[in-house]
Amino acid sequence: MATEGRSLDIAKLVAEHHEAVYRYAYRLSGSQADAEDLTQQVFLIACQKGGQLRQSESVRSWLFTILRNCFLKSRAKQTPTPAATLELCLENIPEPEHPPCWIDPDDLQQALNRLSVQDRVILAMFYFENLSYRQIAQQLAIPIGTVMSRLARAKARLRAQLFPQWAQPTRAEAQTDQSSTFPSITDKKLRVSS
Amino acid sequence: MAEDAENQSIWEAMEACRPGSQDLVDPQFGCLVQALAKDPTLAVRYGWLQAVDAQVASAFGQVVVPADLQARILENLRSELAGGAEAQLPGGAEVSCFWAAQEEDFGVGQKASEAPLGGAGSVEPGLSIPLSLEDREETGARETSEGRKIAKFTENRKYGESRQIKESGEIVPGTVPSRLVPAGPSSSKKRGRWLVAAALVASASMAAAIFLLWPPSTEPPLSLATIQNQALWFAMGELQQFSTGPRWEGPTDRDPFPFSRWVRSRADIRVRKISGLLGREGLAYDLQLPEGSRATLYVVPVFQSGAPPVEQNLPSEPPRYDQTARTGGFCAGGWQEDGFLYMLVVHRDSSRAYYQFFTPQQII
Repeated sequence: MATEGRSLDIAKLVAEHHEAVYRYAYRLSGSQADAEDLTQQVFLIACQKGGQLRQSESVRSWLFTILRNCFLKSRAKQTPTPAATLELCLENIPEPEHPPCWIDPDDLQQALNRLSVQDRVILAMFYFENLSYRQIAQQLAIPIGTVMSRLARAKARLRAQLFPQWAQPTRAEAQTDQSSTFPSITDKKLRVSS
Repeated sequence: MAEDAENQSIWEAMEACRPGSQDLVDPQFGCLVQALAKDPTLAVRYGWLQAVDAQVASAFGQVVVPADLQARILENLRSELAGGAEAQLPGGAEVSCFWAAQEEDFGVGQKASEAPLGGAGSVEPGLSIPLSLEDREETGARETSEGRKIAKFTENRKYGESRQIKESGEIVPGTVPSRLVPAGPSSSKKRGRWLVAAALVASASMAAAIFLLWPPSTEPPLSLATIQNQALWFAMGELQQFSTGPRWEGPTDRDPFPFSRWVRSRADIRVRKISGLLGREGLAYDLQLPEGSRATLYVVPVFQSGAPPVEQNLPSEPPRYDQTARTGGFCAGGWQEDGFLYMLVVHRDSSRAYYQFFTPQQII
């Protein structure tokens, strides 16, 4: 990628990265039209700010950062999706069954669409960009502990949407429903203590 | 309370580990490593999470990109680049407003207005951002061969031409490739565009009809990692079936699911049918070595109607131990041989246990 000085080969940039940017945009926005708009916007900004790019190897990461910012900005004025409460405990991970052989990409998108914007962003960074929790913390400029907590909750919510059959009751639900079909260690403790 | 906090940190650590990564060596996950070593149930749950994460990550990238997206992006960029209003820079140079507006953002230590015109740092529309390799070569050649200052850049939209005017007033025709500048469409061109658009719509409709009539498989090919993980989970889910089949009498010419040439056949081997592994039907060879080590060799066809496809570049020999899938005290290696997929799941997670099931010629 020619990034020296101000020369940025836009055609090459688009050719190499438009698919990845579009896929990322689609996963974030959930619609083809929005994804195309976001992709256009990303490359336009890339044109405008091409000279700011110092390292050619970080082009994709740079484009993804622009994309995330564009997406968050576009959603800033929209009503946030209320995040469901989630009990944080190991028992929320379902008893192991065979993991799915294949996840339908459309099912995944429907599940993502039901999550909050913040959840979608952090999940896309983890699953799509394959960033570590440290890198996510660095990019979002938030503490590592916050990233780990948000990531764990977002992943659990995504699984609950993808695999409702594996959904586990929260501790509060376990307290009110002693006949739950998903007894957890917490649940057992509650019974013993009562 | 302390136990809850510990559980929470373990859970968060489990969720933060990316599938197929070396995240576990991160000191931050020390508590998780200790917990996994102590608690086999937790190790199984961790393996489950990793397998699910691998599937979700795979699904994340599966988005169909519109075929003409690249062309449309470039077209829009051309419009944006060529459509900017014009502004005056100090020194009387006239450049596209688009670039003039960006002079604060170049980030290379020199503003556009400070740069000498025509020099290495000048802002020359069409030169600083070549839209293709061909264009770059073309414009670059002009830069070096002429080496003259270009004082003005104008576009003649009416005729679809771009011109750069030197300080002397002489016009340098075709300095910027005219195809990069949106020409004013004539009525015949407009008609042509409509015809092209109609043809595109018609061909897209036809393609959609073909797609609906012969829907291609939308399932992505299974990678080696997925195959190994699936085998691992399949084996863990059918432990009760181990060695329940009849004794295997040795290879014959008409074996529907032949034994692998890489695996030792000196063990006590029992055979049974399986169904559902990777969406396929096949055979399981349950192996038990004299010293007690146990493993199951699964054999399924590479191609089977209705089953998800597998990647084409799967290895034709067993993987090394460090390339196997491992969880819950099991490890699994997969490969293909003569149109069959082989997956050896060893009921112990150690390199020694893994390798002892292979024939001596197997080079690991």
